[in-house]
Amino acid sequence: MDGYLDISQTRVRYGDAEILKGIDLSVRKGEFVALLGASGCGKTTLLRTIAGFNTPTHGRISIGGRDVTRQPPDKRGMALVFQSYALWPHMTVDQNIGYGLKLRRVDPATARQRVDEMKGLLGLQMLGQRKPAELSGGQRQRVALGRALAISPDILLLDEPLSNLDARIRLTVRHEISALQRRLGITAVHVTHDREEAMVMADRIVIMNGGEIAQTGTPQQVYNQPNSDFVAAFMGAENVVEIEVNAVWNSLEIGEGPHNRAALINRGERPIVSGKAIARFRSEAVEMKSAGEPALSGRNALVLHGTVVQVSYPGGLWRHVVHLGEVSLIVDSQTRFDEGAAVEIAVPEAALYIFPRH
Amino acid sequence: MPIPLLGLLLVMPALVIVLLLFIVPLVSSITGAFSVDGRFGFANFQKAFELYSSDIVFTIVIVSLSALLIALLSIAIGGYLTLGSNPRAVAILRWLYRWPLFVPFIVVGQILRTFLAKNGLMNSMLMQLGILTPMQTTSFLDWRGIVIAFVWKQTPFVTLLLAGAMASLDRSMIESARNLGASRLRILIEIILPQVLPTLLVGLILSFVTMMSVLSVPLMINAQSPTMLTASMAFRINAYGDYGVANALGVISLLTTSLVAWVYLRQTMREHR
Repeated sequence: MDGYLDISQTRVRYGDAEILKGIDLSVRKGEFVALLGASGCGKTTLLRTIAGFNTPTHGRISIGGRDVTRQPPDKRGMALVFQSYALWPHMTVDQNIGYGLKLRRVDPATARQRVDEMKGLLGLQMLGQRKPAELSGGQRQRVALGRALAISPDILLLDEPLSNLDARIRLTVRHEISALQRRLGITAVHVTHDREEAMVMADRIVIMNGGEIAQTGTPQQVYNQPNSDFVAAFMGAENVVEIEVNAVWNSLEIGEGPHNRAALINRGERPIVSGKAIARFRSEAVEMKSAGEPALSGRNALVLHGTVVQVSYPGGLWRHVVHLGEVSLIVDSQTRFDEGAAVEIAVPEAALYIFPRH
Repeated sequence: MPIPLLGLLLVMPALVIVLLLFIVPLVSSITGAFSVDGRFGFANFQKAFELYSSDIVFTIVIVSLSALLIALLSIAIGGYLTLGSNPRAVAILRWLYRWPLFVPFIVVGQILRTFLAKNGLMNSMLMQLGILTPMQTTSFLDWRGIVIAFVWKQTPFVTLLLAGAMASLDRSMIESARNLGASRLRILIEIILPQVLPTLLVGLILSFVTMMSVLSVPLMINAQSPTMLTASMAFRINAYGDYGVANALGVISLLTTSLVAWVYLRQTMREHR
């Protein structure tokens, strides 16, 4: 592997439960990787294993070719920012940021300079003498970041560092952290359960499910080309309809069903699927029309017909709950359709994710 | 009946019990210390200081020294319970350290009397191991015995409080220090201890007051002079029926513990502010 941080075949157990079931991941120097997944998927365990707080039962972790699998946390050249920030309440901001330098026996003058530098970088200049209890959530988060960065780590590990912040502050801090990471050119691994946060911050996203990696790729790749039903659903394609498909050369024939018309679409990058399948799509990626208007074409799109049962306005687009028999979909549209209206929904082939149904 | 009167009636039984069983005896004991042949005077205190000033110093030194040793041991045990890397050793220690809590002081005195005597178990074990010869053995049944008994009995109590406080700290505070490269000892001293200091102080103060009031241990272990104030007070009453000097010694003991209690109160006031 050509990566800087290499994780191969790594397995971790807690008692009887295997939390990580063979992880292979390679992170390039200077790259920002987000580990994304629902709670319990093993993303935090993977981060803690990289940091050295969990010991794998199998596998190997190396940094720049140096095997660190059995090394204690402090010998790995990594700094971890904890979800709870884990600031020491009895120390001032300066003491918190400078503690790693003190442990490294950096001489006091140089250490003070470094602490000032960190405070300047993070906008904490005026707060050096405060204790953590006197800081706001955002300020604490920045102190935790400063404490981690002060020791100039090779790799910065972030364990849901934004989850304790107010929604509005979170949006700005996201950009602050990724700008800082690019400016310092530091390698970063970021754990989050927030899809948008991962999309905005990371160069590459690793989606985890049940202790395994479900998909790895750039934000565009995992968003537009999900490789599994799980990833498609996790990335927001929540609408599901069951269809029958038949792969013919580079096309997929979709057979007429109780709620959809027959259609022919390009196979594109999709795996070959024939027989029972499920189709997923996002609520905003479709076109909706009244059933009475000229019919939508079944070419390069899947056309569904149903009835609007609920309308709401979350802002920007109208949100409709559309029933296709038992199946309930959420469809966004520029125009409003009344409750009870019969509608046709066209899902363009680029927005349609098809996976075999088991 | 008006509400305030009803309320008063409801607290009355408790109030009466506190008054009769606590306030009245305490006040009578304090006034007794200042009563010389039925009149107010300081003669009891004069006599107490003449006869027992070495006992007063002895008591304060013994109890303070014990408190210091208890602090060190409970920090060490609590620290190992929190930071120890060998789960089995931690489990054994956790199971073992509380036992002395359930042994009464008099039994502690008895156990240590047979253990620490010149021909006691400790010396005979040391002789069997060839570390001591019979000529070199000495009895520990003096001030050292009292300190050992107090530390033996009170360390688990302080450790129980301290280990609880340590365990309730956010684990990630310890991990973040480990992550930055702090050794276990540094984490204990620089990260954990400053945060559990109020709890340690409370444990030590409660132990201080307990040790000040133990009669059985000095009687069992230290049958000589100087001894602890409790033994002197008992002697004053049992041998001479001299309640005046005994009361004066009691007031001196009370002032010592009050000083410590004042530190405790100031500490809790600061915490609740």
